[in-house]
Amino acid sequence: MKNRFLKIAALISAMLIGIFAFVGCGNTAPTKGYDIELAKAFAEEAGIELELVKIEWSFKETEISSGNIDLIWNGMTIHEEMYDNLEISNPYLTNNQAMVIKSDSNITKEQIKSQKLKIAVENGSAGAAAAEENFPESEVVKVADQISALTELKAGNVQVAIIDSIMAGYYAANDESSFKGQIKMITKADGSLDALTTEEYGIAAKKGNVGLIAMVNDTLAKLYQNGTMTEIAEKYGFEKIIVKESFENYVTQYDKLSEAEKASWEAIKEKGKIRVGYTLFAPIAY
Amino acid sequence: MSSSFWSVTQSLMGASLYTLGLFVITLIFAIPLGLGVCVLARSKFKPLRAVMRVIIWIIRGTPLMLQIVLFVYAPGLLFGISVSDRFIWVALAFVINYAAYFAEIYRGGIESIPVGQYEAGKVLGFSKKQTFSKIIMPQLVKRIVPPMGNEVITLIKDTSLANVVGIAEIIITAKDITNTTGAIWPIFYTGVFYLIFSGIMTLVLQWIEKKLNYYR
Repeated sequence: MKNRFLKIAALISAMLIGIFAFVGCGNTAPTKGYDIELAKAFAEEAGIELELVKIEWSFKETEISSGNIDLIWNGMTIHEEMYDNLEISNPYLTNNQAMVIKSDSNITKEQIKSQKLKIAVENGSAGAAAAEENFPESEVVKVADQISALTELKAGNVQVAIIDSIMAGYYAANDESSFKGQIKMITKADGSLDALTTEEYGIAAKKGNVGLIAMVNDTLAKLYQNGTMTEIAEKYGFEKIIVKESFENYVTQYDKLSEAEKASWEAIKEKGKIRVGYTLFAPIAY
Repeated sequence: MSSSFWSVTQSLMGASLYTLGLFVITLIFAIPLGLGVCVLARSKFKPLRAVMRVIIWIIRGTPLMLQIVLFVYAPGLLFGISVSDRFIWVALAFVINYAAYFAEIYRGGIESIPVGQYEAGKVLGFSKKQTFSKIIMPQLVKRIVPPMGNEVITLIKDTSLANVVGIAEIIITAKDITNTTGAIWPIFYTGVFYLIFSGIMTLVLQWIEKKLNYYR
């Protein structure tokens, strides 16, 4: 009896191994997303190969410093302090911190404040800072990521979630989303988004890699001017949030650098490959 | 990525390969390495013993997550060697970490055998080697199976720590599906995969215990 049991167990394991072998390794390299498509366009324009490396977001600076990746290109919000430790490109996309509520509720910004409603945010995010600044008396629940903040909202643990408007818009509309039609962003009387703060996305390289970032800036300006960037943005409904000032009347930077400063780009050009760190999240990389 | 049940199952199965790979590699290398560490930690040469004790203390005394981070970033930060295949470095961190735990289990096993048995062996004219292989070893193997089983089951779940450096294991794959589609059920569904793995391992361990059911 026991023996037959073991035989069955062995059979199941053999089957599982067979299935795993059949399914093959899950190739999760993203093909869609604004940043992925833009990075691909950049690599093509610059004549190098793009290698996407999956990273953990909280270790992005470590990944860059250790040289495991060349660029962070993943919807990274630019903060003033970042300039001390990283080289940062010109801003390329605008993002807002939106107050997200359930679609059947009519909570207003004033009510959040006066009723001290509970708020969920991503720990360490721009939304967390905005929550503490705007609603100092509310209880702020800090969760691991933005989708968890929405899950808190859906579960009814909190009344408000403060996250990126870019992501909130996507999750509220995507067919497969658990939040489709269930969440909305608080708007002003005229229907426009009532944003708590506005920030900009940038691309980062290791401190000192001036040549690399100059080349990123130059190439992005080229992609803007030949219409490629707008074309990609239109796929995601981003055409209005491109930071046009970064790319209009652009003066090229790379030519003006010294030979020593150009070295970081020359090294990548030599290898013929650039390694870009990413994490998967829609609609930036998925 | 899509969030239909079948495509999620398929993605998670793909991710299970990493989990399975990490699990198998860790066991294959950590079990013998642990024995080596155990032998050195019990050596008669005091300084060596002290060094091994410190190493075991450091490895058992720091979170595995921290060790994984160290193994993946230290080569680049300290020596300028950028890591291209991070899976190997993560596996190395797991092997060293588990070897330290296994070494302690072996030590516990060896020390649980009464000194009287060594003495009896001596009286009966066994050499030291014979005493160990013919008397101590058979009892040792039996005794360490339950604690080793504990570690093996823990290892299945610990593999999820590899996601701190972006290894596409089960948990992170489920999170990625959530991040890209907005569907939140895949993260709960991962439990099924861990249960299948640990279920199989439990059966295997039961079988090993049964095989070792001598001296009864």
